[in-house]
Amino acid sequence: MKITLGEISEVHADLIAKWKSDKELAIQIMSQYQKTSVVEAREWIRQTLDNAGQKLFGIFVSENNGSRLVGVTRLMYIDLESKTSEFGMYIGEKNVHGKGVGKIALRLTLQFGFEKLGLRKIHLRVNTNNDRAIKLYQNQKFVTEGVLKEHFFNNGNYEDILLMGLFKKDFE
Amino acid sequence: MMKEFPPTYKNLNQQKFELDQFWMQPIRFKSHQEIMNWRNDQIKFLRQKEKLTKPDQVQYFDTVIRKLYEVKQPDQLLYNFYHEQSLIGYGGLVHIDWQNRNAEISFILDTRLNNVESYLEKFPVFLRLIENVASELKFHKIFTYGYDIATYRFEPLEKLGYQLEARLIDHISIENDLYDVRIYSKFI
Repeated sequence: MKITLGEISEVHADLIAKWKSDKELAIQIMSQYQKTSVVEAREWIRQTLDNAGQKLFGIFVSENNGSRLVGVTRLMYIDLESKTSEFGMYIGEKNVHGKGVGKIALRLTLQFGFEKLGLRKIHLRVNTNNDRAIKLYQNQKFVTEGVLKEHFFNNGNYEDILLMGLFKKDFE
Repeated sequence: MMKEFPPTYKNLNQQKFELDQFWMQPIRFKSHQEIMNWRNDQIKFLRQKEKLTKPDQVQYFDTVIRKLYEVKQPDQLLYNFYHEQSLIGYGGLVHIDWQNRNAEISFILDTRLNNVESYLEKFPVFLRLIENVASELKFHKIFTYGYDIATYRFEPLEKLGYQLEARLIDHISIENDLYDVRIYSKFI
């Protein structure tokens, strides 16, 4: 199984609509859940690609029978003066969970941010309940910079958000 | 001549908030020039990359800010801040997250009053007033996102019970020097 980052375009709108309409996934990535149509997903892709402060990539898995899109990774709020950006990612296709896709997609995105964009620091936010993601980020040398207490409302309760950062010098 | 904004935000019963001789009301179109000047003077404290021009500011007020008065859940609620009859600053709740019921506090003082003593007198008053807005909206939490460039600016927050939740190391570059960002928050 080969994992690569590639371009996303409006032809992927059906998958994006499916993932954006997945409540469990929305909670995991602390996104505002809303049922999303293909037309809305197409618009989201168009707007994101047009936004100079963002870089959006598809996560593609290649197997014997070709390549398929399984998730999305992006660098947001790209600040070329401070050389920082916020990282975000989700794997929409659940049948590839636990196969190391996230780790490789994360590393490829960090590599792009540090090497191609010349960033100095990449930061992220993650739900404190998402142990698997936190472990992944810690393994890549992200360090905790704070906890936003009761910042995210989920299923009747407020949950905490962990803020983490990684400097280029610590990226191996 | 652009038309003045409506006097009220749709989702609040109370529009004017007062404490001693200080008070605030929804931001006024006629203040756009003064606000532009303050923002340009204090650009290094703000997430603003370039100096604003008068046409930019008029357009921003007439499009973005005017819309805040037309919707029930705007993404910001901005106020003019007065001492007696003088406009001395502006600010409000920005990046409002209605689903999670939290928002960031924004505040700028008239540049002529922006010395340490005056800031330490007026910012706590503004915080108390903006907490009343957040309380009326039944928000869960409000927070500030401040560059660690002038430590005295955090003193009123600490005195009023705001907790330091995060310190983002070397997060911002200002005139080629790196500064931390501090996030303070308070539950309403």
